[in-house]
Amino acid sequence: MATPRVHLRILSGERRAAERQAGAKPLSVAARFDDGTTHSASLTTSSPGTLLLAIDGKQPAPDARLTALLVSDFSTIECGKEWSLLDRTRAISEAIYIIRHRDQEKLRQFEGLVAPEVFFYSSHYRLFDLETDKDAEGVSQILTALKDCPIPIEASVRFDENSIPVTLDFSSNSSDLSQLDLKIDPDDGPFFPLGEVILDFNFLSVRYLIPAKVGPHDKDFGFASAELGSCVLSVSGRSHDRYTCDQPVTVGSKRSDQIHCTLTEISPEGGTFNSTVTLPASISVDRCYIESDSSRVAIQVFQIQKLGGGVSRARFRFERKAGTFDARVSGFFFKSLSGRSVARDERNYEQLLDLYHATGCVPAGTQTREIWEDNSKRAWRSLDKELYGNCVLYKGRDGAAHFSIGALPLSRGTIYAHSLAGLISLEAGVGLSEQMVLTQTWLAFVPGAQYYSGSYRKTSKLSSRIHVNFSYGLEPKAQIILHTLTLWNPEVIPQKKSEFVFEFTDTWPDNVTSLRPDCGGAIGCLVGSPGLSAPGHNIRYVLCSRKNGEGMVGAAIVHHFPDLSTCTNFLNHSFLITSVSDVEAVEINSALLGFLRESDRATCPARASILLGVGPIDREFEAIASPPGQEYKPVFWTFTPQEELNCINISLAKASYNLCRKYGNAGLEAYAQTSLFS
Amino acid sequence: MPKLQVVNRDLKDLKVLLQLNDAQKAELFEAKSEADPALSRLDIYSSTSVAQSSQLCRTHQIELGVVCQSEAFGVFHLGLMDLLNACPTLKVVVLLKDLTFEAGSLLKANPTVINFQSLDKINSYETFREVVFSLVRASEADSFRNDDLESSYNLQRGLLVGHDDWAGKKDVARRTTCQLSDRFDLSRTQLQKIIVAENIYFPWLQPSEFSRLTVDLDPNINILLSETGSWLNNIRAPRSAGGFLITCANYLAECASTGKTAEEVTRVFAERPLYLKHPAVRVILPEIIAHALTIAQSDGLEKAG
Repeated sequence: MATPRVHLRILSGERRAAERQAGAKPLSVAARFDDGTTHSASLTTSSPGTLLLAIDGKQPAPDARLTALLVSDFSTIECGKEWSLLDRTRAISEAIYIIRHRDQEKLRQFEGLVAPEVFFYSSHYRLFDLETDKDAEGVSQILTALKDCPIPIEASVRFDENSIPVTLDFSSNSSDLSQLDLKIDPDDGPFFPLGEVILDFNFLSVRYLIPAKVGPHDKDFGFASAELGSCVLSVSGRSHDRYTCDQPVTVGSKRSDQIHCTLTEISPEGGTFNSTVTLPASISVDRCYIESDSSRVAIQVFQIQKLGGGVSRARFRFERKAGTFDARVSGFFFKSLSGRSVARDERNYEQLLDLYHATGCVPAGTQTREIWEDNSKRAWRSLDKELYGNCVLYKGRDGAAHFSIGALPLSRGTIYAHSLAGLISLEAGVGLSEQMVLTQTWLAFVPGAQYYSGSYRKTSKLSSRIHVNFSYGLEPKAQIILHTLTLWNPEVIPQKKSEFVFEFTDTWPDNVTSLRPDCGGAIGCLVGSPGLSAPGHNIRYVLCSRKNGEGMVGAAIVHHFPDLSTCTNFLNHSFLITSVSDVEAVEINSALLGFLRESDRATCPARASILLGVGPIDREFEAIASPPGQEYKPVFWTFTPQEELNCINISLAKASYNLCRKYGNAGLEAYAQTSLFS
Repeated sequence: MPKLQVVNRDLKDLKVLLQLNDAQKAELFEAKSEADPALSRLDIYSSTSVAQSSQLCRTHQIELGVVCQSEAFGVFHLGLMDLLNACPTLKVVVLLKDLTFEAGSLLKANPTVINFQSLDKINSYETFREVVFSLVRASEADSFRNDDLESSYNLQRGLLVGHDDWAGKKDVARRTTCQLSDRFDLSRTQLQKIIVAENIYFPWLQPSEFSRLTVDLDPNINILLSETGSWLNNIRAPRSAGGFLITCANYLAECASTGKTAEEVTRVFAERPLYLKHPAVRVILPEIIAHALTIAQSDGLEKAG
């Protein structure tokens, strides 16, 4: 056995190499040991399936065993299951641990093709072991879906450091999918490899990498056959989509003249522009700006490429002060969208009102359409001025809005997607996923936002479409699903003599969460003022106790937004947290609504929910008999951490795909133009 | 290692109409079916009225339906008749609120009603799924009884006049078609159409002659036949996997009758003459050829000539 000193030197070298190759800063994690201690550590990786953990400074006890790495609030790598400790070297000031994935040998095949950091997050990858029946069945489902897709699936055959484009071809109609036909461009035929390759393609927001063995080139049909190996890796770690655009912009810096360019891609993080004049080198050193119409934002150019034909391409990222909201950046982003997706503004208010009217998204108690329209426009003007892009529309060829959804900061860590409205049309099907992904960009703009949330009736067809499609894909592990019983437009029924008393409190008392520790994570997503509040949004907390002095029985979080900020005032919502029996919870909720109405008639919520518990979407709760005149409906709320949005987007991509499929090949061709298809 | 193969072959390209009076439930079942691996490849279209159902059936060429009784039987039956008149190719399973003798007799008299059951069987998604499976099974059983198969045998008998040497070959070709069909992604309904087309296929017939023969049959039969190849003059290549399968099975039957060895036939397949030139030929591996010939020859086929 090597002496620790020698071993340490080797490992330190490997650590540095890993850090260099990873090209990213080591990730700060917390290492948990079986003696209950937790140590700050840095995590690096240079190859798929191998992690290097370095603990500097205070060292764990010599006999302490590493049990888990807390990669983030939402991701933990448990040692002893998929991952296991391979080696450990300790010195006075540094300890290095090598952690290997159970299938490290298989994962090594993807070296150089997948960023090894993907393996930090279990919801970003799935390795299908084709030697097991369950995984083979899963891959068969995926390949069958590819076969049934009328849009040709483009793939790359990767070998050494080369890549040849191919198309997956199923025209033989073979029932055996362990061998795939790859259609090759005749020009690529002579260069096509024989033997071991990796087949690489995207389908519905998931990237698939399949080790395969290529057989001889069949010149009759221009095919090569690829015999699939023993595993399939599916990867999806895309945090934000890039949107194509075609927008004239001006780029400049202190040292360079203004250059007229074309913005070709935009994301919440940055974008790409093309220029027909040579871009000066200073542009990638200096602090630059990009300007379009009236918006000017600071950017940093980090890559310049020459495309040929005198065209240069530059990639940039927005320069933003950490922890602050920069309305110029979000405004620039939403104003640059040049596809069918547009942000709500004065020019399309009428179209949005028509959509809400057509889909029945009109608040109860609205007197006339004119009054509702005028009030809506007034509410939107104020919102759109402060938070441009807080609601987006997908326009059809006819110019009408076919789909729309909004997003507003709900609490300290949560962005809530609201006012989802869609026509029954192909264009609404196409718009569904694109618009929902667009609202997720607010997670990048709002300081402190970590969760993307939404709420759905348990019987909603939409929730069935977009939240259960994980069967054979990547599944969110840290998503919180909260079940509530929700009262729509509550009528306050006068209580004969309520045995509960209520009082407002400025801060959320931690001991309330202890009433329902099971819902702690969900409650955390509902409390606290957002890093950026929508105009007029306020959160109040109400404590509830028994009159007889037996102490606190619950508390409520009451969100208030100005009227019509959301299409059905859904976010004017109270959440009651209590541990009493269901029947009593309904009584408390009625009394709470009475209290809210008495204290400030204007802030009485449009929805009143009682928290039931957390669990999978299909978790059933015992039915509660609604009191006369009140109808409680089961609702579930999803809170998805930013790191797991990829899973939601896979589900959304499938939902849109299934909807568009019902419009035949034309429907799928329309959907294939969107970024979520591939 | 478990084999990777296509899933839910029997549901391939199948479209099912669900007419339920509860719109929310119908849409929910439709949405849930999209995420259900057991129902992948099946498209469910939900509707709440006869008019909507007729429209869906016409737009999407739906052939199977689950129709639920939502009103008094007399009114419901009139609506059902309207639907079946508007969509003559639709076959339905009817779910009745009250299963009475009279209702049963009326429905039984209608050949497009392939089954009827009590409505309480569709109170959850799971029971709905069972109904869909029973519908698919009933439809498959029903489709094998259809007139096309009988007509195709009659046509075959006519075409065999003056071609006595082909009587035995057609028998072998039909069995070879069934045997090879497992290698292809075919639903039972598709296979049935291939069998009907195979009955009428003879290598000397031209596409224009097929179209004259199949006027009374399902239009898909003629399409399949027009996609076949022929080795007699080697000027016609198969244009679909189904067309290839029919050509290939008949060619193998011919080879078996002339006593060609597996090696000889494999060489022909490897040369890819025009009549076998379709990507589906890649599915027919040498061992499959050898196996098919062995079975054909062990069936007692006499050498021709």
